[in-house]
Amino acid sequence: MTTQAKGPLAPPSEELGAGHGVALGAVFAGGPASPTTPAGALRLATDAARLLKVPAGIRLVRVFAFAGGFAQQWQLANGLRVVLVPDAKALVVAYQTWIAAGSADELAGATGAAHLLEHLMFKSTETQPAGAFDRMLEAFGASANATTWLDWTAFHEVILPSRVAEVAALEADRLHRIRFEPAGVRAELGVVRNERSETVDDDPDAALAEVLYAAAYGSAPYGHPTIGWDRDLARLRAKQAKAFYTSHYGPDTAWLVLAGAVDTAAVLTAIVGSYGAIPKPKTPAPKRRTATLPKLGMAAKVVRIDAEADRLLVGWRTVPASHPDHPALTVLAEVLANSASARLSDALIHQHRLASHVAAEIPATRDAALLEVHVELLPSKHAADAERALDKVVSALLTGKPVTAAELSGARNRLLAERYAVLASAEGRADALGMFAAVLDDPTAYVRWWQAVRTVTVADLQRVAKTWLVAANRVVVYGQAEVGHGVELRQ
Amino acid sequence: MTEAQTPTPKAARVAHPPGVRKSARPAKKPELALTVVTRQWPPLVHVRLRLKSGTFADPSGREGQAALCWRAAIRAGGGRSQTQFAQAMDALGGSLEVRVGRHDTLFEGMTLATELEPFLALLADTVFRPRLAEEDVAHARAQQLADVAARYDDDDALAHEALVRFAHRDGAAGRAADGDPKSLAGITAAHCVAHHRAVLRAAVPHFGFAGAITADRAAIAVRAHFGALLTARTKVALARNRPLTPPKVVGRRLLLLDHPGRKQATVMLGFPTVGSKHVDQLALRLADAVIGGSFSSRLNLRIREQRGWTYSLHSFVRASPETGMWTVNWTPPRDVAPQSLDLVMRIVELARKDGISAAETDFGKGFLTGALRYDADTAEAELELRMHAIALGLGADWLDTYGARVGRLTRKAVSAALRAHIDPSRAVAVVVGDARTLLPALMAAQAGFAVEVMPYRGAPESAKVVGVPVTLTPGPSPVTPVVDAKTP
Repeated sequence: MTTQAKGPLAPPSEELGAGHGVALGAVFAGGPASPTTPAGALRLATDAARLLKVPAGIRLVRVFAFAGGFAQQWQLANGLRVVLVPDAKALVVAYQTWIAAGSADELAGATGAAHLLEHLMFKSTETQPAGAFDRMLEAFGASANATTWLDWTAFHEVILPSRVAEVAALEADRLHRIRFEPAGVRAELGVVRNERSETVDDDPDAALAEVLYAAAYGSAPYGHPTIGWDRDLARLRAKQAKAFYTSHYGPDTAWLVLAGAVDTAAVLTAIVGSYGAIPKPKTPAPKRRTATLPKLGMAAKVVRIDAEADRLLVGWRTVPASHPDHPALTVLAEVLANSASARLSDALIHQHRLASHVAAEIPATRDAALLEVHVELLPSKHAADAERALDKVVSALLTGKPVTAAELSGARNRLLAERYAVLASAEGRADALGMFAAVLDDPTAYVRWWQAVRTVTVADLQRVAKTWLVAANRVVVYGQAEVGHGVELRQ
Repeated sequence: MTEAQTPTPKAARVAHPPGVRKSARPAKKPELALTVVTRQWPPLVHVRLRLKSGTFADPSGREGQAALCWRAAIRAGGGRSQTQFAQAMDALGGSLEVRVGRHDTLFEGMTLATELEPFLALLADTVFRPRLAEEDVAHARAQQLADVAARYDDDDALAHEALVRFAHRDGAAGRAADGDPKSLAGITAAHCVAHHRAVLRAAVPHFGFAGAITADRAAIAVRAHFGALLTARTKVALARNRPLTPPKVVGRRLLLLDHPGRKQATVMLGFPTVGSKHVDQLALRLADAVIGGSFSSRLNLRIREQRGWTYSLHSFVRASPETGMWTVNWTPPRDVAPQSLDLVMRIVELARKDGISAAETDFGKGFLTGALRYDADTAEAELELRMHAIALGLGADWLDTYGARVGRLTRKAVSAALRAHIDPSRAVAVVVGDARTLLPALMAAQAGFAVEVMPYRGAPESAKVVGVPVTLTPGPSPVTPVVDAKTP
């Protein structure tokens, strides 16, 4: 946990754009300043944040350059961490709560508890009846939703700046006062089981992803689906969700991230007023269970899917987001797929005419991440042929045809454009910092990670490819299309 | 900052690409429809080009032509092969897609601001100088067929398209916009070249830019790269680009697309209503927010929150200038699908009969005005809204006057609009699911829909397929037999 103020994070120049003066203006009530260098701007922003009149009970941890301006990290006495990303030109505020616990923190036999709890957070609390949360937010048009994944659970709203205090009160309330009413829990269990049927059982791609992760991680925390196994959902009751709430939800595990039209002093006052009295938990959240990872490199698992065309899923179990190789693996995924001229796309779609879509990604996770390649074949083409073509591309990459400078430059440009597109919205800015805060316990990890992506070299790509894209790390799943059949594991 | 303007022509540098006839008459000052939303950070520019020609221009028997030809066009052009074109675009970090609607074709691109000029040059190559070789069309055809097939894997997308085609089955909108294996097989490179020429002659372009670009720079860029598009168009619209007529819906009709083994039923329930320019359109949107378009809506509370019958339930109004459809979509388990359909119909009937309350009116006003601000949070999103409003004939100031117009809505006006434009006795529904369990229950349901059944893979790309049991159901609502041999 980060509790001590750190020195200012060296500001990457690309983080400081035309907006940094405006962001300073948001920190300084007096208007934009005109710093001459990025480092000078950061010092000025830090001084400005220190001079703000803030209520007792909250302290500044650090200021760092981010998304054309500056972000500030604060902390309450009860441990709650708060990240603010002011943008004086924004019209809305993205208000997000990131809980640093997800489905990987569930106990065996209670898979789906984290996700069920996420649903129940929209039900009643000790002070609010069921439905009040949505009604109050939607009455001014706010959008509110939540997402659970392996390492985190995120609650996100986009609201009007004038409503921050109201939303802070509602969010603080449900952070420690949820009621687990039997009727509400029963109805929501029905919703969750319907969600599983709709988004997994009746969706061939999601069903295959479950098989891929189960094969890659076995009984380890990433091996079961976030929505939960159907057999566990049938047995799930309020007590498992309540247990997860008690042990994992609290000011010490939550990150608040607010981006957009944030009036720093007013927002901090609202946050201290709403969250300050929540007691710090007497015991810290339990540590995640550990399990031996399965041996990989086996033959492909074949799954019959009710679909029009075969799928090929290939994963390499690699490294956590904190690992120095993660940025290079991110660029490598881009070199392999996600654009028309990428190597796998070129081979599978254009040269061999086997596939209609090819995508690759490596998520940012706390434990070792899976670099995944998803191939959707053309009708009547076969996953085994696609795997052979993929193997040739990977083999060439490792031996005779290393990544070129032009490929690296194109991949970096695409990643940069996508990143800018995400950071254009208040919600995107909050997402980026919130996810890294929840995964790595440090929002500035995102800035460092991105800097590392920008400085990846051709030699880095070659090294990480040789280290991680090897048979011992590989897991393969074929989705064999047979129209009219449900998903069924064949071998 | 947002501007919809006709900039001065001083920087015009008109290129005349092959296939675009130069005007013999003295050039008039070219008109330029340009919408620009400027935000300097991040250093990214989103580019849009809307051409006023879409799938309605597809000749009979060549359904899917517009979509196929533009798909082929964005693959190679300006003297570049497919690989060279892809490499050039990828090197810029750019992206370019083309979407073909009923009435228009929309190019959507994004590039780093530093790469705008080379990006626009590539876009111009796509628009003016596509290669359109047989090889390009063949490859695009395989990809398009794969996408058409992939829709069978996605019940929601399948139900949505099937609903439109089922409701409009006697009209142009009842045709398969992306084509089917037979129609696509008959489209050649020569057809695409002819289509391309025809579209450019009748283009009526609307350009949009969002992000790190000023209106002046955008105008200069458009004239430099796309000047020919401004001067070469004729006043004649494509002959087949006809307006969309309202669907002829009589009684309650339900198409069950049988997908054996599906655990859930995907329900898409549509009520024909007025077009985007109708004076009551905004009142209907407020009614939508109250009845099904929000988490706090009547339908969400009754179907999802109280009973847990679906994971997702939402409603929306989709409108073209001429006609619209208010649609409710949910995904219940198959054993409660008929009950949920009955309940949805009863809630809609009640809303129409009694109207909405004053508190719900206030809720709806807050919901609509707030949501629009969130929807326009980025320059790209604001550009989308502005260009969409213009395409729907709502005017360039639609976004700026929206809040005031919502503020003027009253409970009485919204309730009256519901009564006037949502008629529960005229409804169309598509259900994708396992017919073995669904059919008997749907036939016994109280809502009284005339049920037709067909295999899910037979729709929506082939509207003329018959060979399905046509079953009339008893029920309290008017039921009209559906026995037309042309129906699916």
